[in-house]
Amino acid sequence: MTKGMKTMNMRKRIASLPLTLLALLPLTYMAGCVEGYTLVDAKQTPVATNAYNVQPSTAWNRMPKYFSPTKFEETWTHNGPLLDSLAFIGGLPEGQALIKQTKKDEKRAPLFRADMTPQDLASMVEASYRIQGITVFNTESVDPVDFLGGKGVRVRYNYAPTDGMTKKGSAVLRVVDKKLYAMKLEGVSSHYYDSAVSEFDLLVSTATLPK
Amino acid sequence: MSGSRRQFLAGAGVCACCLPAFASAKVLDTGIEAVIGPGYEPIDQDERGMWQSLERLEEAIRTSPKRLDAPKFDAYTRGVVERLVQRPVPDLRIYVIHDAAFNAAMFPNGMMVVNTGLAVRIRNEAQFAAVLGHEAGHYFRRHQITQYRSVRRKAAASAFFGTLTAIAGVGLAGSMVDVALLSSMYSFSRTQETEADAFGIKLMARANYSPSAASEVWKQVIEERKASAKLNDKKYKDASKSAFSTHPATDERMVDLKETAAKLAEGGNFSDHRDEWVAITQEHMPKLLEEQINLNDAGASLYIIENLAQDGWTGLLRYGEGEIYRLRAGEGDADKAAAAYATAITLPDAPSEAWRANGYALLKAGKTEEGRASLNKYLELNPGAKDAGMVRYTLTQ
Amino acid sequence: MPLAAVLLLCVGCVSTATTQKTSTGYKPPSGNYKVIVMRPDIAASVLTAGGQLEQREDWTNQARENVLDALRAQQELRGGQATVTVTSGDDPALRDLNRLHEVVGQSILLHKYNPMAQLPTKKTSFDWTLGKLATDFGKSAGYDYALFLFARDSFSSGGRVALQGIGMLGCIVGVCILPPGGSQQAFASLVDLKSGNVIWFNYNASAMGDIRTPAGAAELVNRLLEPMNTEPKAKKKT
Repeated sequence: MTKGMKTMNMRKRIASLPLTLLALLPLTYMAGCVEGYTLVDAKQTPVATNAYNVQPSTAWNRMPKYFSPTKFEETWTHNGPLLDSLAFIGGLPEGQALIKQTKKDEKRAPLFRADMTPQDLASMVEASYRIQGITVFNTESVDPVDFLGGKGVRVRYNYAPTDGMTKKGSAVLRVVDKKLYAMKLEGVSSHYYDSAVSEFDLLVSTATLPK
Repeated sequence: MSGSRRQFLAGAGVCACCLPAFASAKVLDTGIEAVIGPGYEPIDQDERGMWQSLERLEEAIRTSPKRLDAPKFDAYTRGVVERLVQRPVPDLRIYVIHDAAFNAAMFPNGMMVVNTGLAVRIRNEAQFAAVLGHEAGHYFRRHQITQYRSVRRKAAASAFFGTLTAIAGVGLAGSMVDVALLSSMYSFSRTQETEADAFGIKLMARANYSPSAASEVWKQVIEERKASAKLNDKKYKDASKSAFSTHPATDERMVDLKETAAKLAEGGNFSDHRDEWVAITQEHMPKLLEEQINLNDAGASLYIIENLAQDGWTGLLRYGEGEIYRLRAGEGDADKAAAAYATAITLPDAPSEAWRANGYALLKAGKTEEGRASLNKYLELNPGAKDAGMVRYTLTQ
Repeated sequence: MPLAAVLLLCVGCVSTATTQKTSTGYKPPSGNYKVIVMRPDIAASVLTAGGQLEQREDWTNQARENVLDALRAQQELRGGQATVTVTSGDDPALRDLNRLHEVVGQSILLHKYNPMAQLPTKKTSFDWTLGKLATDFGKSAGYDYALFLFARDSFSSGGRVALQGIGMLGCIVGVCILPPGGSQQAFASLVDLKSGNVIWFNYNASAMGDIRTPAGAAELVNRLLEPMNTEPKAKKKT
């Protein structure tokens, strides 16, 4: 089969896939169906390439690398990313953004700076959502929180994704040695966020930097 | 006119008064008439099918979390439409949607959608009437059904699909909305755009809205895009048709509208009703500006703020200016932000957030006592602030 | 969505047979029970030669009527107090429930029907819930179960049928291009409104049947829903 034919064949097959799965395909794998979700046991675990350690009290599913392309991040889920997701960022250096962008984008994701105020950190979260197309974003609270042995900022929010039901989120951020450390929980506002938030708060309060 | 604004406009490479030389600047034919009247119902099968699909879209929009519930603004919009068409429009349904893109659309089944991104760029009621009149032109000349038929004939690209269903929060998976339908609602031929312009400006003049407002709207859109491109070190492309825009803004359209307006304005008594517009949008402006500014497109956002400031700098606008610089955080921006905040708090309508921003900026500059005083003022003005916890903590450090 | 990403998906990851999933210890509803059928999320479209799906309102209305009739008939045969209610889009509680179900249904499809997206924590279990939204609804509306149905049916336009002809010929010559003639995808979930949990889920993709006809609709309904009425065998397929 020539490449062109194979493409056409695939296209026909894909055209026959259910609309639901077609919509979900970007959530599945890119590089040839190799890597899947892996189990995270309920015990102390390093995250974001050993940036820090967390102590989950239940088992989680680690999402495939496709979702977290840099070594500074890692994401888990209980019920699948459409319903809930728990992201870890560790050791993000200055000059990096929370989201991936091309040079063409007119809307520029804010770049992390070590001298960011709590307001700047909260703005970085909101802007990262809005730049990706979220048009309804509401901050619910901004409070200090203990994270990795010091005080971080916790932003609680809700937003309307482009598909599906509104989601709630909680993002905890702290600057350590001029690098950004963060944890973020997102979940569908009905049931899924609520059922994960106590575990999230526990993970935040028991997270530790490596010795 | 403040010095910085003149500088800004000059810097953007646009002279506020001069227009590009077009040999063929023409007066539009405003003699065109509506081809449908009140109470129109579709007869043809495909048009009925289109209306049914639109019903589904309308339900999705009506119940969407993106819908801004603003009954006063809806009533105001209805009033403007009635003034334009010179009769009551009880069947018209109006929906305001949270979307930072400059857009409005009037659908053939009597539903109108207005983006918040439109509201933040409009300076007065005449400009609003210009956009609504243009949309009414598409409606009264039945452009959408024509496009619907045309799109269905071709295997049209569904590039619009993802972005447009996003308007209603209707996901691909659950979507029951026709691709062809959405494409046809948002893309018109050049002839159709010209017709809609002509029809719209005719309605405006008849309703005693300043006809020059029509070309102003497009001038603003073009200048904003140029400003955005400049600050992003990019080339501005005329008539760049973004996936979101019903209206490809071109210099040509702007010039024709200006020419036509000059003709229509002869011996007339027109108004732009700025006060009414400001009064009705005032309560929404902080949120609308936040939606725009948080996109961190400094060129566009600064243009919008400066544009609104032509009628006077307010505390809210200075605060917005500060936020733009704070977010961009380029070289020298922190100082610009601090200066803007410092000015904002001297103005009577400064939002409480201006005091917070001012406080943080002062702390960053090492002016601890003044910074703390400003943060305290914020808490005093807004004791139930969502970030009160964080601010209080900052004050203990 | 970039087609490139789609093209890299491994072919054959999606089963075309009917395969149901149930929660542990699933027993079909029996005795006197009240089940509410949510407004079926159904659309019938034409698949154009360009591969576009264009929804046809008249077909969709027909399909929806037929599926509802088939559902009523099927539930009547079952006994119990099956109330087949067509919910409108207006009730906010139902709207949220349907929206939540859609997201949960998509998640089930993704993580239970695609081996590559399987969640390790749910490898041997099937636990998905609609939570308080469902239990509150069950209490206030007085139902024991809720049945959600989602169906998409697409049919070839003339151009597509012609292409198919070429494809089959191509197969004989050794180069196989078989554009499907149109296909049917459907899923259904049964939610226990006392717990809020999805206790039964079935997905079906097939190239046969035409839900615009009463017979086709009945066939879909039976194929999709009949397994709901039998207790699963000891060895569950997950």
